[in-house]
Amino acid sequence: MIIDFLIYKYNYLATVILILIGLYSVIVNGNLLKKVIGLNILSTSVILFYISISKVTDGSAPIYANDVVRYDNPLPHVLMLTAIVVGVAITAVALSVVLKIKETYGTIEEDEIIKIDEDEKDMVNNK
Amino acid sequence: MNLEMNLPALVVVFPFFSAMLMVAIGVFYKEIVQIMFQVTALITAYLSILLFLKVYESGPIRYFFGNWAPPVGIEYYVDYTNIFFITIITVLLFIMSIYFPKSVKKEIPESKQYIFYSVTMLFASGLLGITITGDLFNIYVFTEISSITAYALIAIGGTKKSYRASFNYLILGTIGATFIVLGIGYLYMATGTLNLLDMQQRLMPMYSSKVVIVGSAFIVVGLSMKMALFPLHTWLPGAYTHSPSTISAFMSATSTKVMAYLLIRFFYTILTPNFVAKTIPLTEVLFYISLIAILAGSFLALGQKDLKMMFAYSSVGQIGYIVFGATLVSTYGLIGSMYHFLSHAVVKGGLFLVAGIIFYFTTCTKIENLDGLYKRMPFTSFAFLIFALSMIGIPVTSGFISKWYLVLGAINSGKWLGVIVILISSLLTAVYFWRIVDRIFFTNSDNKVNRIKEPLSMLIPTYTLVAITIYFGIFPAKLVKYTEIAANLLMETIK
Repeated sequence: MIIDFLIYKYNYLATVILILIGLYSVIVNGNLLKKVIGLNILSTSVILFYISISKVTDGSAPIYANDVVRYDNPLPHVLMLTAIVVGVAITAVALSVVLKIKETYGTIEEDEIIKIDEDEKDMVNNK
Repeated sequence: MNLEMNLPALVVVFPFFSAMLMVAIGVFYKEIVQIMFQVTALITAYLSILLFLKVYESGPIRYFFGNWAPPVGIEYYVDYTNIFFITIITVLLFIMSIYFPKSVKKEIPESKQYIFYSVTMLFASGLLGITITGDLFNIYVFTEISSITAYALIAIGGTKKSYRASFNYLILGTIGATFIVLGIGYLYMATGTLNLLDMQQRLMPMYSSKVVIVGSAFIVVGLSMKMALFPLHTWLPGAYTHSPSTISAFMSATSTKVMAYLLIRFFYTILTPNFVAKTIPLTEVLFYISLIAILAGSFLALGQKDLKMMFAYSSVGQIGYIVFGATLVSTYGLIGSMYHFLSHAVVKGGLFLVAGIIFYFTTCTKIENLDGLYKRMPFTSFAFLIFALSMIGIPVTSGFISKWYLVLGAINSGKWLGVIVILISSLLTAVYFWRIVDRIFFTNSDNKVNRIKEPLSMLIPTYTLVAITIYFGIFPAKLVKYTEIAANLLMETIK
């Protein structure tokens, strides 16, 4: 039964694995850039999920052609175009914020940033 | 063009295009943008009030984009609940837009001001879009519009800490939004539609399906992250504290609460109370989480040394109240929830405006510097006092009425634990606000007393909010009746 699941539903399995990889790298990595990459993997996994649910047996890509009988459900494809654009926008904003953090802190490693913040707090308290 | 017919679309589209136009014009004439911002806010508020009156007279409106009927086309669905939220957002935006120029000139570098105005308007139109749309995927897209602009608005503060706060919010906000869109995917998989009302119909025979249960779990978790429900609140304090004063005022008044509105919409319109209360105990679980949120927010606010930080943690508690009302599955609970939305949006927005005035003159919002503020800024201090009373829930302010209905709802549903928690948290709120009232009014500072004249453009919006909270504290009857109609309509979906 597990074999059947692996053969016929491997796309959903891939989605789950990608979501977990994405979440793991967002949570565990101290490097802010790696966090952004993790976010990207996370949002890409959702795209894979949507494309999977739109699949129709023997269906072709939802683009008009003469010799095609069945098409996949076009709606999720269209939605995912939007989601891709949103993903790009978020990555752009995230990267520019990372750039600003690098400019002000001089590092993009989270533990070093936290250390700099705490040192500043101590300085203020000791005054 | 028929204004009357196209009102639902205009409320969202008008500020959206105006925001675009502001960038284009701002490149050449920077001074005009600020006035454009205020005019746009005024017109949007006017449009939403027109729409409010129309819905109030003739009932819910379904607006089809390009006349394509729902399963195919996109629908804007305006009923008693969301027009209430929309009116609050637009009216608050207008009131605060009077306050904007002074504060923005102080806190934002001049070259970025016109972009700041434009992005703020975009943020507002994103929030309006979330509230008005009747299409699930639209909700996701508008959520992202408002979130991405929010990340930018927090980072525009330009300090080290604001960049970090923005990045934290970005990470958690994106994870939350991804969960929401994943949940929407599950529901789409089960029903094959994205329209709210259509989905409600098609979901009814499917309540035992695992797909629906998993999808709703994903959406609830995503929304909880976005609205900063207690254990997932970690992005909120930084975001509110390190953003410009005007933005923390507007964001605290609207953004998390719009997500709480989505939760209400999700529970009562898409899933129907039958499902969330009986099939799987979603409301039961969220009920206890909201209780923990109410208490935790109040306790965390107790220990803060910064005024804005304290308001931010108290917001975490107040979101708990709104969710608490939503999970009672009773008319009174929903009335309390909606009334609290209004009350808290006005009061917390007002408190952040007060913090903004203090920051404008002293460039610091540390609580230890507030000693004897009464002698320096009597008007600001008095406004703070009224807002504090409203937060605590003293009669004659709107905070009292909302807590009253929340307690009534809890008693009606037999959930006495909720009553106890609301009482305890009111006491805690009194403690942490009175700590500051005591410093402002009854502690003498060593500094020499210089009477500061607050500018009228800052005092008028603040006192308008004071007037609103007192008005709805003394004359709640009409609004309660209105929210009752809205709540009954939401509850009607039990069949």
